[in-house]
Amino acid sequence: MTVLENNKQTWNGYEKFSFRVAFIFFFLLVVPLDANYYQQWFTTDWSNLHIRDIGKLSGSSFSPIKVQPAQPGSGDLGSIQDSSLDFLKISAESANFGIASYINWGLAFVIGLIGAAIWSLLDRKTTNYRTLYYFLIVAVSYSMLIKLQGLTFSKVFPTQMPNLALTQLNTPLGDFTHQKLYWIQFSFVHGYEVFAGLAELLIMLLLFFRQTRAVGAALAIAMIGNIAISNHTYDGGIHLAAAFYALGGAFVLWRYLPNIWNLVVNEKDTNPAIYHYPFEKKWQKYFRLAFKSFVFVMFFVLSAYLHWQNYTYDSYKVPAQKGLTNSRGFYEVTEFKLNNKTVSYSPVDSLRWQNVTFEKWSTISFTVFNTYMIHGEAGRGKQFKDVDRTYESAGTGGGRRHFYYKADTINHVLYLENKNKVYKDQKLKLSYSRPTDSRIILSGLNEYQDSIYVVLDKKDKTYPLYQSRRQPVVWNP
Amino acid sequence: MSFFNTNNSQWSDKEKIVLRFFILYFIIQVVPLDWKFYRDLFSINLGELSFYDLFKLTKYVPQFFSLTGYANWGVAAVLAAIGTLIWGNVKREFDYNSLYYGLRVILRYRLAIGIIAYGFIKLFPLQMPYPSLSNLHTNYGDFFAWKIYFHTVGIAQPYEVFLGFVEILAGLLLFFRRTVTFGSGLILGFIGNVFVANIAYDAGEQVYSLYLVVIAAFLFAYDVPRLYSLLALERQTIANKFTPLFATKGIRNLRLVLKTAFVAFVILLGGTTYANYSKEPYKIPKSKGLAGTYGYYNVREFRFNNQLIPYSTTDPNRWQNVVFEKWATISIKIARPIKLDPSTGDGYFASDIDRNYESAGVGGRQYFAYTSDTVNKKIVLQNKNKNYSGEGFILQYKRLNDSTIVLSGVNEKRDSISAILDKINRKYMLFEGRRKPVKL
Repeated sequence: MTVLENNKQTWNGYEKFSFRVAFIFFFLLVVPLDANYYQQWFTTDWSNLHIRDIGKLSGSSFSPIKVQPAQPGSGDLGSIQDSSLDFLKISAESANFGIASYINWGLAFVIGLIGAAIWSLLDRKTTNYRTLYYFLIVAVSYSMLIKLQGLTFSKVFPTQMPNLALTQLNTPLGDFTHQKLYWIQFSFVHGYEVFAGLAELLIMLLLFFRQTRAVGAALAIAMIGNIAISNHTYDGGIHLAAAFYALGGAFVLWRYLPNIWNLVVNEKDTNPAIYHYPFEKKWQKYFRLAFKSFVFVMFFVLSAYLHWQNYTYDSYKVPAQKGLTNSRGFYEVTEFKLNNKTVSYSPVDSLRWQNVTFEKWSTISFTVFNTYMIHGEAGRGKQFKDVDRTYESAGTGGGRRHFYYKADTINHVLYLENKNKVYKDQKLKLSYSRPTDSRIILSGLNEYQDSIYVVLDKKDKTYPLYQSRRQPVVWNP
Repeated sequence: MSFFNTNNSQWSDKEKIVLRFFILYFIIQVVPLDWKFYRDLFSINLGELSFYDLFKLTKYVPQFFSLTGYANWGVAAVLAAIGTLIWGNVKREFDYNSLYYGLRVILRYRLAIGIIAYGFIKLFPLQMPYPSLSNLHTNYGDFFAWKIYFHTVGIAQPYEVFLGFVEILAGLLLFFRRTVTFGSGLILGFIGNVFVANIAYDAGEQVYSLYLVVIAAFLFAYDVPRLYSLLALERQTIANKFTPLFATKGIRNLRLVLKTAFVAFVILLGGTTYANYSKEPYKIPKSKGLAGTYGYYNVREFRFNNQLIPYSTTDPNRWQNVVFEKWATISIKIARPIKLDPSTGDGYFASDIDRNYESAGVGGRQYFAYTSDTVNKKIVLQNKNKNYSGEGFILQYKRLNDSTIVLSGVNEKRDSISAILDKINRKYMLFEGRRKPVKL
């Protein structure tokens, strides 16, 4: 029988030094170091909680070095908290998508090495750090599960990938970025999104309990490590947040590995002898219970409740304001006048609109044959204003333009604002009339101050995406 | 409990019955007893060995009375139950530990073959090819769900390669008795996810992926009580005590032969899969397209029976735009209803017109395979959709310059057609990405 010495009293020099490095490294990554984070606990409006707040309270990042985005918005991290500390800006060819984005991990490691050297000089008496090791593992596990709550519950209550907009259904595949296609593949299969959310919830729960921590760490490496790799290949942008689960998971799993190897591969009887802090004193027991309860209530129960509430009343990526009554649909442009002259349809006209969508919410989109600057944002985050909720439009090119609108239903006027942040100053005022249920006529000045008059006719469309291939499906033009 | 060989190897009567059932059930499920397997095996032409001949063998599942899907599992279960009853009356005593071990060996190799075959067609990204140019010019809503799922992987080929690597790694871990738990655990996670995705996207491999998952679960279960004791209870844990004894020379030789055959098969499968990937990816037509035509074209001018038809998104005759693929396919956007090809385009076909991955599960455009006669400047188009197999065009082509093609000729009803095509040098968000400023 082999007893592995996980529980031994005397660590050798190499073990102590590695631990010191790991301790400083993970301390920097896990413990929020900016004062802002702690202030939020006091400035949050606890009587009107929003999922936004719980995201901010779930941690911060160690990022004193910021990588300069190569274009505005491409560093869009959505609701993932980034530290406001900012000592140095660097630029790299691969910008915030490549290896350079891991710079802060490198920095934390270097600080860890230096710190460990100093620590070794100062502390020559300690024989082991098993208590500190235990608490570091708890800290890393809890940091992982707490930071996961937003992604978990926004999938369990499917809001992270909300329903596809009509504009997306009518945009060619080649006109989306990789990132967008990666995200919207969940937007029409919410059952799968919920499944992914439940898998993440399982990881959270497994990491929460001591008995299941090893399995939770292994699952985190496999599932969220996979997400990190896909974020790299799709330029998804949140590879760093995801890769932390592979790193942290490996760290948590580390001390179980020799046991697993010994038992399963060597086929030798194994006494695990993993050291856990005993929590012997009464106050320690109470403190542990209170802390666990607090984390559970705050980041499981409350987070789930807030995400459910958000899902039910105001799905955070979808504009809140309802669109014009009964206007939702895909419209052909039957007639188009520019400065009072009729322009007939042409697929290569840079001014004439080709087709128009009105969403359930207050967004309209149309296509023209033209080129535009594309903003780099990914359309994530928990935005306050509808015009900033760009899940439907971010990462889309190909001449399709998206406008948020405010409707004055008494005077029949739409006030349009371009949702592409490069053109955010573009504001149009269009009068509308609805002679029949399926026809909308718009008139006013376009973005170049030319007068336009547009007759739109709704077209009933069905989409194969929502149909079963087990029955004959006819696509209609 | 003896099932997990944790502390004693005595089999209770109940456990024996359960084990007998599993042995019979899985042998029916995984050992090629179906004559169709041998039909496929012996119809392989070694001279023109294609990876798909071998790939098809790796997907073996028994099929009873032309039933499909889970119904076959039911038949296997009924047969196994009957067999278990009969076995209960056999007087002879068996070494159940060895029988159980033997079953796990069979399942390990069955699972390894299945997972490695799928790993290879991802490692050499054949399973999800990059979307064709025509598909890039198709609206998101006009695809079936499975096709979006495939394209979403297809646009990230490095990711597909990574997935293939994981599958092959898991398969290789099954090769060694002591790493089976890791291999089957990986498969449970990855293929479990594939199974759920197959349900969500109706991707067509639901039954087979669950088949693999069930085998993986059966193999993984062996170590579960041990891992639970070690990791959750943190107790002194007894290791697996069963080690196979290959007592006779005959068994040792058989083992060597089977192992060698397995390794040889995997190498051959890998080699032929790579050959297919590098020479003629099986989901893409083989013949090259007309040189220099690859691109997206606006149909500037169009005549139908000598009548000029202006731009229109509703006219059922007018061509709106045309895509020339790198291979011999042309797709045309015409405002006509299309009865979609419901297949998933995953078969292996010798002739280009049947290689329908590009046109399966997608509306919006009509896909034509074509043959060209470059001497007489003639192309003959044939609709790839089986619902419209008689449709096509016979056209003369003329290239006015690098970016303008003039086509004229007739359709299958002898209506005359002429079209002037202008190539549009278009940028795609998909290629431009988010890394740098883009103007589109």
